[in-house]
Amino acid sequence: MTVAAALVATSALSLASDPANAEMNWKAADGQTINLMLISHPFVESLKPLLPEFTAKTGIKVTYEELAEQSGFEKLLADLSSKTGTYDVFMTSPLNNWQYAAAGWLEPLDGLIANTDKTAADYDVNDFIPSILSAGRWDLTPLKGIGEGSLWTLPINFESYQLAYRPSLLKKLGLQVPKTYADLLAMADKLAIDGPNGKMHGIITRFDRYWDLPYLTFGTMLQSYGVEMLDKDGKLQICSDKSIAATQDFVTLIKKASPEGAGAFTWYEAMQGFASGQYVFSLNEANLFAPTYEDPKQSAIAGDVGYAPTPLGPDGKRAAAAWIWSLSMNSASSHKDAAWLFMQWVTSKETMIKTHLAGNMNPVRKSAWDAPEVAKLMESWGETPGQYIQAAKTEAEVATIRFPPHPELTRMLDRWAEAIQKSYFGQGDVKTNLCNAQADIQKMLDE
Amino acid sequence: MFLRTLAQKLALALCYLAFAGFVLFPLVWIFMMSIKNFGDIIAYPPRFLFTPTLENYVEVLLGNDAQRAGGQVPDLLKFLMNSVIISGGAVLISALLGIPAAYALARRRDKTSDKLRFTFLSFRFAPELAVILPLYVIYTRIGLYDSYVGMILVHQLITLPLMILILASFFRDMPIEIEEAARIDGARIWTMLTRIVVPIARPGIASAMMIAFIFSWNNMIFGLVLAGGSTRPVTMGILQAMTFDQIKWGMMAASAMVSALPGMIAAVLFQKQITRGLTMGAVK
Repeated sequence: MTVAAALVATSALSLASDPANAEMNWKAADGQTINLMLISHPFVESLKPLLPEFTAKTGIKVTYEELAEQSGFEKLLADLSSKTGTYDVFMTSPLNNWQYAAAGWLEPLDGLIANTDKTAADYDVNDFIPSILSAGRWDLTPLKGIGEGSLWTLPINFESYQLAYRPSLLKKLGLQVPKTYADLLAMADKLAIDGPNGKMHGIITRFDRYWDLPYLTFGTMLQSYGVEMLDKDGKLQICSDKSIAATQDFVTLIKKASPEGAGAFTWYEAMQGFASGQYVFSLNEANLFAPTYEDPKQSAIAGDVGYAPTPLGPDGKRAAAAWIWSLSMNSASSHKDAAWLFMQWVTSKETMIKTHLAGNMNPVRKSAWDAPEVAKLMESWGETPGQYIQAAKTEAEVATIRFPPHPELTRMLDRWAEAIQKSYFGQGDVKTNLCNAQADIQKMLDE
Repeated sequence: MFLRTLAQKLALALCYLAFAGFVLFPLVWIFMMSIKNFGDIIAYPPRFLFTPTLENYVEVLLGNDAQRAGGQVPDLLKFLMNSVIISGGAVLISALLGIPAAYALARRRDKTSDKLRFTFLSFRFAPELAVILPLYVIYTRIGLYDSYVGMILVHQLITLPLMILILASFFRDMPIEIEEAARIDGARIWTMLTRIVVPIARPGIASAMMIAFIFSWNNMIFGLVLAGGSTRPVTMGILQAMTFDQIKWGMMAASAMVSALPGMIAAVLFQKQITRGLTMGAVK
């Protein structure tokens, strides 16, 4: 297309839509190619078929690499740290971005969003769920300033944590869905039952020895007990009374109601174990597993699974961690305009809804939660109509990132996870392990 | 007497059977996994009786519904093709360079050649991770990243030392008298290599190439870092069955079966050469 033709086309378009936005031109980077780093995820499956639409709309060709999470982040780190700019846009999370942003590898996005030449008038950044969008903001001050400063990333989905259960088994056992962790602890002994394929267990949960343990699933329990990593004065709370109580309850729960080997369960064991029908509860699991459970081709429990909000802590408090997948732009990219067009296209209302319908859970835009076709998809999930939506919404109200932003956070959380694991495996008591971890983490903070 | 030998034979047969079972069980297990649906794969206890399905193979070989509708080439076939080009190219170049090099090393036996041999050997146990990041930067700067040429070049680190080491010891076992006779007839070194040594050593060369090919085929780390979307080898491709929340075991098993095929086919085709190569000296 010639420049003149492009001008005619865009002015015609802008006349038809919004004269105030006469300058925004989807064809501004016509003919360029951008390269993405994508992590294998239902979002990516939902995105791939839509890419030709983007190319047709903008004339920008999209190439991408799709890798498993670990190898993807390794390769991304190699590229970002060498500033070669191989990837213009990549999938990431606020947590990873504390490292990337501090190193200057990310392009701040506020200027682009505010620029009416580069951003469509109907983009509507205020339509994002505020807490999820602001998790991508950080002013680069270690340990504080999350939600402040520059926006480094745009969310594409989020996961929070919930309780999944088997209605038929609870009925058989004569038990109710637990409202509090104390309720769950009280029934832990009674959950061992004989199934059609041998002994079944009460609870499956993710329990591996990495940062995700105090951050995600058990993190949700910790936070419900009122545990924060740092208190208001910046002092570590890892071996506080609340943290010790939560860890003791968790270890007891898993020892009573989980099979041997539970101390090494990753998402893979957790999700497939529950889907194969060997467990009564899946504790604080990622709520975006539901599409798999509900699919009879992938799960043995389709039609017999219920969802409930995570149990309440001792003070009747509910809290939940959140993981947010998002898109960020490489500051070493040589196609920043094209990259921005791509990012705003993916996170636009229209494209987001299309990805949700193809399995990208959970929506990060309010308009997507309200979209009738998205609501209809989730309506049937659960023991009763709308149960999943209700549970997910309850969690979304409290889900947030409660950890202090720090480039080395994952290293600290790894140490914390080690202390929890040691306690489970009977190497020392909970209090000593947690206090030792706290001392080590304090050293990392002082470095 | 007869009974005793029969018993012995039976025992021996049982031993063979047990050994074959031990060797083949993982392969059989992966094959079974590749023809199960997800529910059967994650079933506990493991199921030996199930309704087999070709779904995994269909998805791996023909692509998923969206890809089929879009007329796209399925990912695994692309990755397989990439692996064939990379490993095949790497082995061919290694053969061209490695045969003369191995011949020289075999026939020139002094301290320098010993040092050279050791240097080549050291490429085999040098950790790939130590060179991979600098290589990544260099490759992206000079445009070799995600290119077949770049991948074939870096795979020389795997294939060339193997070719040289295997062939050098092979050439050394060849009786030098043949070459001396040829030299008396006036053959120069190049003629000797191309007309006499290589034809005699053909089985050895074939088996060395085969081994180098398999090592190159199985490499993953170069594919992870230096290959991008367009040259990714099959070892990386199989990993795509690992998503963030679950492993698509069925697809992974089917991909593994399909990707193991070229190696198996090559092994069968070259079987005669390989067994000769592995068992013979030059003119026994």
